[in-house]
Amino acid sequence: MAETGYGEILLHAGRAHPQVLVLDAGLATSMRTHRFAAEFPERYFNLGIAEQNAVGVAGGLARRGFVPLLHTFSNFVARRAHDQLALSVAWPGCAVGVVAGSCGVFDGRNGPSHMATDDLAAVSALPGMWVAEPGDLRQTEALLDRLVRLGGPGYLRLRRFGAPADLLGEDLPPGGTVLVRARDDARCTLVACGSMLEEVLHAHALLKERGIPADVVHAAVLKPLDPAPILASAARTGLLVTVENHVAAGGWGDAVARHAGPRGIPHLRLALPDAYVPAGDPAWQLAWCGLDAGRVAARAAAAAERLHPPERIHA
Amino acid sequence: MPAVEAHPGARTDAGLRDEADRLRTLVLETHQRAGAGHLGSALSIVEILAVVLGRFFRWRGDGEPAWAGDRFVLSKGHGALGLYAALARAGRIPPERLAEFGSNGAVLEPHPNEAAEPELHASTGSLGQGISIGVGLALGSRLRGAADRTWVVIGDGEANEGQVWEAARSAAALNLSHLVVVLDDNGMQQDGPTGGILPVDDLAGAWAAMGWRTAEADGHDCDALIRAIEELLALPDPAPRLLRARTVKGRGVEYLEGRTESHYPPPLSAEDLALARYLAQTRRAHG
Repeated sequence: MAETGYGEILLHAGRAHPQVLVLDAGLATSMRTHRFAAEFPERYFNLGIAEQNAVGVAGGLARRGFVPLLHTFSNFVARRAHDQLALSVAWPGCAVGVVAGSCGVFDGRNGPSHMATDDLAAVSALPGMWVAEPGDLRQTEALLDRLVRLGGPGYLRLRRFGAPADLLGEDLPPGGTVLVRARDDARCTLVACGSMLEEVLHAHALLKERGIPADVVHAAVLKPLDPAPILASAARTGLLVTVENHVAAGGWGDAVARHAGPRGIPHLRLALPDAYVPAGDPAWQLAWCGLDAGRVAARAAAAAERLHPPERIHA
Repeated sequence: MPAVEAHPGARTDAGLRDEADRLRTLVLETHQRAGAGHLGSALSIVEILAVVLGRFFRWRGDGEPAWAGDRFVLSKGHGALGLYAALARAGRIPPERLAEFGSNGAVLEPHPNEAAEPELHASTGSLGQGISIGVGLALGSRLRGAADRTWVVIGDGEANEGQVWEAARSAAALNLSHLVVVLDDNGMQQDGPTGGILPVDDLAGAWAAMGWRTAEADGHDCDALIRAIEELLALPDPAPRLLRARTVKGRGVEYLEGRTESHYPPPLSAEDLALARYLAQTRRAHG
C-alpha cells in the first residue's frame, strides 16, 4: 500500500464494523482519518486538541455500545491522558481502541515532545489493556481488526511515516508472535519487536553475510505476549536478542525477559537509550541509538561469539 | 444497620423534601457506622440526588438494550456516599451492600467503581473525568436515536480541572441537548474555600459563554431545583444544560456546614446524629 495506507485500512474497518466510531483530537491531517470522515461523517468526531476529554468521551461512547477508535499521537495519550486511560477506560474495561500514531524513532523529526519512547511502559502497565505494534501495513490491518473486536481496551502503536506494505508475505499470519526466519544451525534468535521488523530483517541479512546464522521472531502483540515461538527458537539457538523502538524500562525486552529470565536464557536487550534523543530522521536516530541494522548485527554477533566459540559457529 | 425504607415513590414536591431528609439521615448513619468517609461532599448533593433520581430520571427498563436509559455520572466521586444512599433508597442496590460501606473490599468503594456495581454508571474519583464520560454517554445516546438523558454532577472545586473545560466546550460543540450537568457549587474544596484558590466570579456565566443554557437554584430547596430543571429541559434549542445549584458543604450538620473540616470528618457522636435526625424529623413534621 502507498503512503495513504492507514487511511484505507481504517476506511475498510469502518465499512466492516458499523459500531466503529472514529475520534480525532485535533490531529486529523496527521492521523489520516479523512477518508473515514468523508464516507461516514455521522460516525466521525474531531474533539479538538483536548486529549484528556477525548479519552473520556470515548469511554462514554463505549458505554453506549459503540467501539470508538481514538486517534492521536502516542505521547499525547499515553503520557498526557494516562490517568483518563486508566480510570475512564481501562478500569471499567471499556471497548475503546486507541490508535497512537507517533512511535519512537519513526516520529523523531519533531523531537522528544512528539517522539514516544516510553508509551508502551505506560499503557501496558494498565490491567486489562491489549497492546500491539505492527511491523508493516498488512499487520496493521489485521491488528486493527483485532482491536475492533476486542470488547475491551486496546492500544495500537503506529509509525506515522513510511510503514512498509508487507515484509513477511502471505504465507505467514499477520500479528502475534511469529517465527519468520529459521535455520536448524541458528546460534541467535533476533526478536524483532513491533516496528523494528524491517531493520531487524536487514540485520539478519548482515549476520548471514558474517557467517552467523540466526532465527528471526517477530512480535507484534506486547500484551498479552505469546512467548512460545520466542522460547522455542531460543531453546535451539541459546541466545535471545530483543530489538525494540522503546526504552528498556517497561518495553518489549522486559516482557520477553519475564519469560526468558526464569529459564536462564542469555538475553541481549537492544532498546532506545535512557536519554532524550535529539530530533532527527529515522535513519539518523536509529544510528544515534545504536539500533541501525549494522549495529544490531554487530552487537548480536559479539554476543553470539561470546556464547558460542567461532569455530563452532563456522563449523 | 440503619433501616433503608422502601422508596416512597415520591412525586409530589413535599414527598421529595421528605425523601431528601430521609436520604440525609441515611448518609449520616452510614458514615457513622463506617467510621470515615467524604461526608461534606455527600451532604451538599442530597437534594440534587433526591430531585434528579426521584423526579426526572428514566431507568433502563427490563428488555431494553444495554445502552438504553438515562445515565447518572457522579463526576465529583467524593460524594459517593450520597449516591449510594440514594440508590439504596431507590431500591437499586440492596441495603446490606450499603451497610458494608467503609469496610475492606466493600463493593461500594469510597469512589464509585462501576466494574464492581453495575448500578453505578461511571467509575470516577479522579476529578474532571466523569463529565467527559458524560459527554460520550450523551453523544452515544443521540447516535442511537434515543431521547435518553445523561445527568452529570460536578463540583465547583472540581472545576479547577482543565478537563472540565475541555468537556464543556466539546458538549457545546456537539449540541448535546440531552446532557444535563448539575454544578454543586458549595464554595468549598478539600483545602478550603474555592474563592481563595482558583476563583471564578461567575462560573455559570463562563459556561453560558461556552454555549450552554444555564439556570441557578438553591441546591437545598427541592421545589426550586425542580422548577429550574423543568425550565432547562423545556428550552427548545440544542445546547447542553447547566444547573448551578448553590449548596452548603456538610449541609445538615451544623458544626460542619461550610467548613473545611467537613471534607473527611470523624463519625458523628451519638448525640450529634440524634440531633440531626431530630431536626430532619422536625422539618418533615412542619414542612
